[in-house]
Amino acid sequence: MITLVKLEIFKLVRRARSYLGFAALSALAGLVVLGLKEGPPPFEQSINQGFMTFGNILNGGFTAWFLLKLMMALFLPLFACVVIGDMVSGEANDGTLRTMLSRPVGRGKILFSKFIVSVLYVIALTFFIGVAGYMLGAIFLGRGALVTFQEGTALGAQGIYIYPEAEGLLRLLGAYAYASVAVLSVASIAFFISAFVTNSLGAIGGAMVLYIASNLLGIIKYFEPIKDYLFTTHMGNFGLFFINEIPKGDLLKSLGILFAYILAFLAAGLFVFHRKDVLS
Amino acid sequence: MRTAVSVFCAGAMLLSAVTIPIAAAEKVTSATILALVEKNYKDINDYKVDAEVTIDSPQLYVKGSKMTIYFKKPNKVKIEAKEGFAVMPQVFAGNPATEIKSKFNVEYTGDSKLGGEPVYVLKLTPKSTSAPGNMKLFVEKKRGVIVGSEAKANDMTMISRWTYVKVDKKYWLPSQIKVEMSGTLSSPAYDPDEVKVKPAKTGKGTAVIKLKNYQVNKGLSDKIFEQKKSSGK
Repeated sequence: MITLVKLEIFKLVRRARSYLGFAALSALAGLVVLGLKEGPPPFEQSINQGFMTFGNILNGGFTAWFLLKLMMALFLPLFACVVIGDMVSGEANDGTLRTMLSRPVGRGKILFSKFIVSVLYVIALTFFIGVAGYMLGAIFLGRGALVTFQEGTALGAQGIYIYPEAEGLLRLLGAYAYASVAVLSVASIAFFISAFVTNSLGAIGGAMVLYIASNLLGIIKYFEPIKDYLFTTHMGNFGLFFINEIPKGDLLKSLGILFAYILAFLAAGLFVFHRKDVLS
Repeated sequence: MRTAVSVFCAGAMLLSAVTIPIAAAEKVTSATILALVEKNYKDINDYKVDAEVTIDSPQLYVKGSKMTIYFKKPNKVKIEAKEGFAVMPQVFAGNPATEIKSKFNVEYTGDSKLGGEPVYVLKLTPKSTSAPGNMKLFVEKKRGVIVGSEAKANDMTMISRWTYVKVDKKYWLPSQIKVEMSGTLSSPAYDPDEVKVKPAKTGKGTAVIKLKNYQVNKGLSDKIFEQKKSSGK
């Protein structure tokens, strides 16, 4: 299995599209830092009413938090799907899948090794945006206490949490780890679709359509009874890490639902892949 | 942020000090009580103190926001964040008596006891709408320092208490200001995630300002106060 995983990693690092997400997210992080540095302070009004503030709210920690909030809405799931949706379908499209399956290795092992590499990729991509954001923010904006806004908008925030730098970093670490699981829940849909299509665009598009549809269902009142079971409802719960007393029950419940989606799509992918008639 | 506005009175007396009680024969008025508070600064030319602010309310949570406060006569104040950014409730940053006189109409309403100590009770009415609402202020007779306040604004109540430390065996300066808030502690806010306006939050909250490591009359340079104060970006 380790050999298979190594092989998949080798294939992943040799593919140009693997770096697309890293490059795009780096560029976006740079633009966000530029906007924060040169633009008007985005959240000052929320804090200043009734309080005296000193120093700079904008720093590496804030950038990492802000980027996570921004990127989780679309870019992280999209760039994860671009690669994960290509894991199997890309090989089918290239005509290498049949060759690979002709070797004396079980289909389950092959697919599972691809899934393990997908997990590693999602973790790397998610943490990359955090590290890039923190470092760019620290270089151009400085370091310091972490300020986050959990509810409302910049002009009407209700949940403002401010932590010392060290604690802020630990909370960011937790939030990014959670975000990895959340992104993986979308990516696992792309992985599943990738197992039975030969065009990676179908897998990427299919996963993104489901992601957007799930988001829409979550805001339509009629679907309120199923809202709790939609994976998109729980994707944004990385914010729980920034509440002073992290609601562990809610966090575990959300993680449970996200993992259930991941495992369900992995199982479905294995099922489909086992029965798949590989023609290319 | 009404929470914070209300805490305004809480930090009011960052700078209270030694006291000479009003002479028994002298008629007690709001002016004599404020003069008593003002006397606390007579021998303090400057000081530097470390402050740590913790706020726990439905609106805002601040864990150990650290800063250094510099004060120099006549009324120069500078507050410097230790970890890049710091937040603290709006306070009378300077001579409290002067601040009170400039922002409030003050009326002496009688005597009372707070924590077993006899106190003067002052009623403060804001001169302008920008100042916080009406409040009661308690000035300890023995030391002439402000030891508490009670205020009600809209649907919120704030009760604050000050504790003091004797610095250099001469100056009574605050070591802790604790404010307890209750009622409506935030404004309604639109939540784009939920696509709805969240109602104002009610409940209870606490703000604590801890002050330690006072360094009094060490000859602070004017240069410290020349630096431009930054807020936000």
